Amino acid sequence: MFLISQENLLKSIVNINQDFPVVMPVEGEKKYLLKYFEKQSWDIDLWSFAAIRTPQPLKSYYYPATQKVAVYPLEKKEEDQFVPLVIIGSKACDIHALQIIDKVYAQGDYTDPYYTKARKEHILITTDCLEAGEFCYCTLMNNQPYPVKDFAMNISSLNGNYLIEVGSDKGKMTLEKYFRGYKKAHESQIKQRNKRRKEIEETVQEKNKEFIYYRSHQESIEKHLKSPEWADLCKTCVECGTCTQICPTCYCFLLFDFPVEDKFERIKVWDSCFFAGYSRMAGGLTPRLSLSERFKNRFYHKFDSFVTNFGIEACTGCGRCVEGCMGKIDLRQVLHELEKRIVLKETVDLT
Amino acid sequence: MESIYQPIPTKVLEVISETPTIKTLVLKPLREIHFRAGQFMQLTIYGIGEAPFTPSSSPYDTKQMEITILKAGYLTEAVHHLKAGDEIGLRGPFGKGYPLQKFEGKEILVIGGGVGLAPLRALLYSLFHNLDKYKRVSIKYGARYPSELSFHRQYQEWQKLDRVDFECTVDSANVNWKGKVGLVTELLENTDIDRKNAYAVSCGPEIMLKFVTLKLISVGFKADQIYLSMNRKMSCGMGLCGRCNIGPYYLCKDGPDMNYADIQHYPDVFG
Repeated sequence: MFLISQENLLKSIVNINQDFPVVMPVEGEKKYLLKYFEKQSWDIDLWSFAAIRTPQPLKSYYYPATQKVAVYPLEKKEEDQFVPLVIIGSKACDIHALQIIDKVYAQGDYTDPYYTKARKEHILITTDCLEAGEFCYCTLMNNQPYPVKDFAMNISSLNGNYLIEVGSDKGKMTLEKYFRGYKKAHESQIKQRNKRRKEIEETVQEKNKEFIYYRSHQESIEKHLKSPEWADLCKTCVECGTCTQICPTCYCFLLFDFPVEDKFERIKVWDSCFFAGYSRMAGGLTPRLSLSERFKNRFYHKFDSFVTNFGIEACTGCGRCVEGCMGKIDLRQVLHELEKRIVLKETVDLT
Repeated sequence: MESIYQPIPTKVLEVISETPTIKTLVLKPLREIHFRAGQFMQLTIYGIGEAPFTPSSSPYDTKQMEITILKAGYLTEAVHHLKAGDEIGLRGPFGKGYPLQKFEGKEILVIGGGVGLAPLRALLYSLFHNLDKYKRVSIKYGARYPSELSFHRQYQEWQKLDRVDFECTVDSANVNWKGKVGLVTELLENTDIDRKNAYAVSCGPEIMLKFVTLKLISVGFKADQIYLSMNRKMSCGMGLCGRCNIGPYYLCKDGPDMNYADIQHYPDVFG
């Protein structure tokens, strides 16, 4: 663990930006916004240590909203246009989201070559959260507001200075090559960091104390698989698809082909399970025709079938879906309601 | 970067008209494609897109492949405009295919509806290739009209095979029709199939699959003796794009032929 002054940290980021484009949060009017900076374009005046995650998920830098994945008929292989990025200031929930996506895109029989390449090449310099965001609920999803693994480096803010934790060989190399003026941290400073982490974790827990779950979400959903309750839970949904587009773990896509000059291109474009056309087949048959069926499917996928298939829930507790929903649907509340309704039904059955 | 989304250029050698709405493409891919019965291909019409189809030819014929397609939508409309010499793309094969080892020593009841006989034809070729391994192959086929019976030219040759029987029916007949009239489920009512020692395999429209399943259960089949070729929209074919699930199963990698016992308790199995 190392200690670095703000001045030296910012100089180090400028150094990194000499060789790599960087993706970093900047301070917006009300929120921190995630921005992309070309090589040699980031300036120390733009520095802000984002207190919480940005509204934009990281996924656009790992699988963009539209991505060319094939040109055909193929005569010769296209030049590889991949550009490695250094992503600075992501939070624990962002990293957790990538671990969830890995299960599908990087660890199955077929792996997405673009995603796995980005996963291998991008350098992640994460940061601790400084507060509990209005919509944050990572602690409900068995996470915490500070990264514990799967980063190159993690930076914690400490009384005007910063603590650097190296998490991988790539992080070690980045530290040695681009960082200047850092020294070994004292045990007391690490203790202080851990104390702050604990405090913020408790703030998130405190904020979410009305949502304590007594059963697994999988059980809550399994017991509602054929129940009509979903229509009630999604009655303010306007099918805009925001929750899926902004969710850092939603990965559904559609392959779309079109002609370009004398060739054809295939793009992979984000899709949303909230749209009726998502599952509509030739002849018009649509397995999930009603909104409530689609709404149920989203919860079923994240908290039930994903657990069956991969052993983890596909939610990080980042709260983006809650923040973005114009129907004011709160995922925490939906899970809470599902559980409440089971208990209610069981009580009625008993009496 | 080797793209899993890249189609293999494929020549259309011949287009066979099976019925007014069904055509069989005889295809020669740039490189040999090996598939097992029940596995499917993603077929690309250049500039229009991809859709999943199960080959209708023998998996043992690796030089060329046949795919039989009903005109049902935007892409299949374009398929029906293809002529010999045109080029298309293929990706795959994808999916599990039929559990042929499990079928050994059993009576296999093969039930097709309309163009649903096409994927089953690849299965039939596989079964016929090692016919002595199976106790019996009983084929029941239904179409709406006599003009919509596909692979008409082959029924006699199938019937001549040892331990193979074939029966077909149409929903609605014209005066020239000498065969049975009625739904394919009626052919399942009085079969002499040994229910305890059999598997039923079915492919067709969802509404037909539903009633075939109900009929099979009512004549004594257990859910785990029934394999259904399920239909869902697919895009990637590899379990990545997210849309073809029935419960936790993704038809593209866990199917598309599903054991009914695995899926029966999930909502919307039959659309």
